[in-house]
Amino acid sequence: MNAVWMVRSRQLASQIRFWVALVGYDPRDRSIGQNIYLVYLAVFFSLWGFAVLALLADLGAGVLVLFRGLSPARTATMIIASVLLVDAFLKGYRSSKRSPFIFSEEDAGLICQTPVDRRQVAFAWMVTDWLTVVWPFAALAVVLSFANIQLTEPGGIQWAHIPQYWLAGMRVASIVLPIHLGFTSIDYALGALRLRGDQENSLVRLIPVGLALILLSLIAVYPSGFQAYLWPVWFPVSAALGEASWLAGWFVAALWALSGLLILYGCSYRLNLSRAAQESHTRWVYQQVSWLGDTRLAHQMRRREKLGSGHLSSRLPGWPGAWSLIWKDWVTNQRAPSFKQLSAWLAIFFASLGLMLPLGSGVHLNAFVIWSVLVSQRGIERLRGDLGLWMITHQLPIRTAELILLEVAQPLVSTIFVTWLAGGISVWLGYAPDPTVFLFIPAASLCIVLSAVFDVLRRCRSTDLLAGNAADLGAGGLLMGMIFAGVPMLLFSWAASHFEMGWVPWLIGLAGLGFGSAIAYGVWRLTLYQYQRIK
Amino acid sequence: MAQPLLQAIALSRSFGDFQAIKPLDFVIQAGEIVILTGPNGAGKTTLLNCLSGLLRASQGNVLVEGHDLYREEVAAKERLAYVLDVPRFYTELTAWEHLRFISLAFAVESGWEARAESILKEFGLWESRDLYPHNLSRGMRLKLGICLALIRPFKVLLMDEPTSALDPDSTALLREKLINLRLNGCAVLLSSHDLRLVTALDAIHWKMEGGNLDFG
Repeated sequence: MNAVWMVRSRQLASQIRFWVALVGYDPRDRSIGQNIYLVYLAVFFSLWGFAVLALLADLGAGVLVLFRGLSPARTATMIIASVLLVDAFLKGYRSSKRSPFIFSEEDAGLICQTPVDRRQVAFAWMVTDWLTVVWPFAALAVVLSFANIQLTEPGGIQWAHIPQYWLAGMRVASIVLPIHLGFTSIDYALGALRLRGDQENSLVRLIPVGLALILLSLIAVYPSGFQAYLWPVWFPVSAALGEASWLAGWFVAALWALSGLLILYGCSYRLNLSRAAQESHTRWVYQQVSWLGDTRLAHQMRRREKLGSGHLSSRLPGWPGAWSLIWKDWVTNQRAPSFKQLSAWLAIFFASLGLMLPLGSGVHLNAFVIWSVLVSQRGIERLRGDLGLWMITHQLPIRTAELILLEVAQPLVSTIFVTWLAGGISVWLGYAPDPTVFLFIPAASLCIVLSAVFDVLRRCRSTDLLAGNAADLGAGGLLMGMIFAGVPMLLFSWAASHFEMGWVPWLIGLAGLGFGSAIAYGVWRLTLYQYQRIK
Repeated sequence: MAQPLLQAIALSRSFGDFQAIKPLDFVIQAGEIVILTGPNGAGKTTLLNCLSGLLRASQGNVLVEGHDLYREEVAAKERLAYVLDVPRFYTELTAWEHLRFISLAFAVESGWEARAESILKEFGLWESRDLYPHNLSRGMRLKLGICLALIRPFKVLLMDEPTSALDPDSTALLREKLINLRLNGCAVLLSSHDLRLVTALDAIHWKMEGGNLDFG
């Protein structure tokens, strides 16, 4: 085996060993017992994976029927094609800014300083990285293909239909995987193009940005023709979902893969591995730290890397006293806006949609739990950041009530806005949300955020805070928030469902809002008391 | 008798069964500089943390110019500044922005910029004002911590080993600043292993050992 592939495949094997060790399998043990266990694991996880995907297909079916006027297959095609394209553009932009090839310290010494074939390095790194990132895309495609079958053959999954599901899954995976391989290759090719020789080629980043802008402009100007512009992706994906010939679709998908690999081959022959190693060293350390589970350190490292050495100090005017916290939050947010924050709000938005849309009580319950967890996390993020700097924040002459209020105000207002926005979207889609749920949102958000804050404060010790370690949210706080928010919401919603008259449910919703606010006030008093009792 | 600027009343702190500070009573008057010495683990940092309110005392109370640190928190904190031996900072704020933030929080509005510039220049941080604190050396971070204390109005200054990471010039500057603070009627309590500070500042020397204070 070639040296480059040998090194890379061993790295991949080491990663796989980490995961299989979690389920108690030791690859170095060649005994019959271990081999039987391996077969058992393979069968168990195949069945488990199938069951999970089938379960998720219920949710997928709920999403597919939301787009009225479009067939389920067409909606699924639209979702899969959009996800693949957005991911490709985002990763392409990222690759054109920093090296997609991540080298460890050992790689930097053993591979990057030796005259190995650069193309082989590029291929080995791209393929092994691709193998680890492609699964969520394949899973999404399979879930939507299952959902599509579920909608065309009602009655849920039956034993007799299992071969049909299996075939549908294979069909969609066989097409989505090569398309994703092609996109990933092109993204890596952009990185290789920028890392060519010794010169920094920053113009490369214009390629993904330009292509995305052209595509968006075309869709904005001629929205009806989007299927034509997206044909190279649309056609194979629709074929994967049974809308066209599988062979023709697979052929186009294979062309994507082949083109991507050829582009990478063409771009990587002068790939400067030393530059790539230099650029990616911190990211490698970050990956290792994340791998070991130290998320706090990983987050801090990422933040510092993003921030660089310094920044022209802000001249933003501010108000004195407690409002200085708003000034500080504004400057810090402006300094390092992250995709993670945006995605957290998007997640709350989608969970809110699950809560507002008529998807059944099971989905509502799941959506409420997810929404509560996400809102709790957002609600305490700011406070935890400030508690981690106890030596600064606790010296400030700010009243406890003002401090906590300012810590939770922004996430709270944003949560209410995002959740109501989801309610507005559901109305726009033609589904009126339950008025009790809609009205209860501010009180529910307040109960959940304050319960989370109370729980964090309850778990904090000043000795830990002085060391920069703010306690994390515990299950108790989550549960408390869910009970305080969920039980009244459920009761008032149930009461409102017994009245058909137009205004009565809204009146009951308002009563619920008042009741929820009273509970929230109780939690607020508890939170203030707890802050002053931090030992 | 004048109101003492800092007063500890039966102050003690325990960690489980271990009593880090045994019940203490003392007062520090305006214009006094007290230097706390003692072996490692004597309880100096714990005492300073309790006096600043960062660590809650297990028993007893702290009064800052007559204001109860726990019941009149805001009034007490307005009169108090504490410099820790290893200060921490916001990752996303530059050195200058930290000064701005503290000025805003303590409502120091008029002339804060000139004051911040002068303090930063004195401590040799002016050129580094737009840097993030994690890019500063340990000594520079300690100096920034001192600047953050000096930018605000206070009556009592607490410092935990402030000279541990400072170069000789900065140590001399700090000595000069402390003498000026005394002349302005502030009270200073600092912990140090450097006994030369006692004579250089003509300070009161308290020894701490095993959680007990020996007032000499």
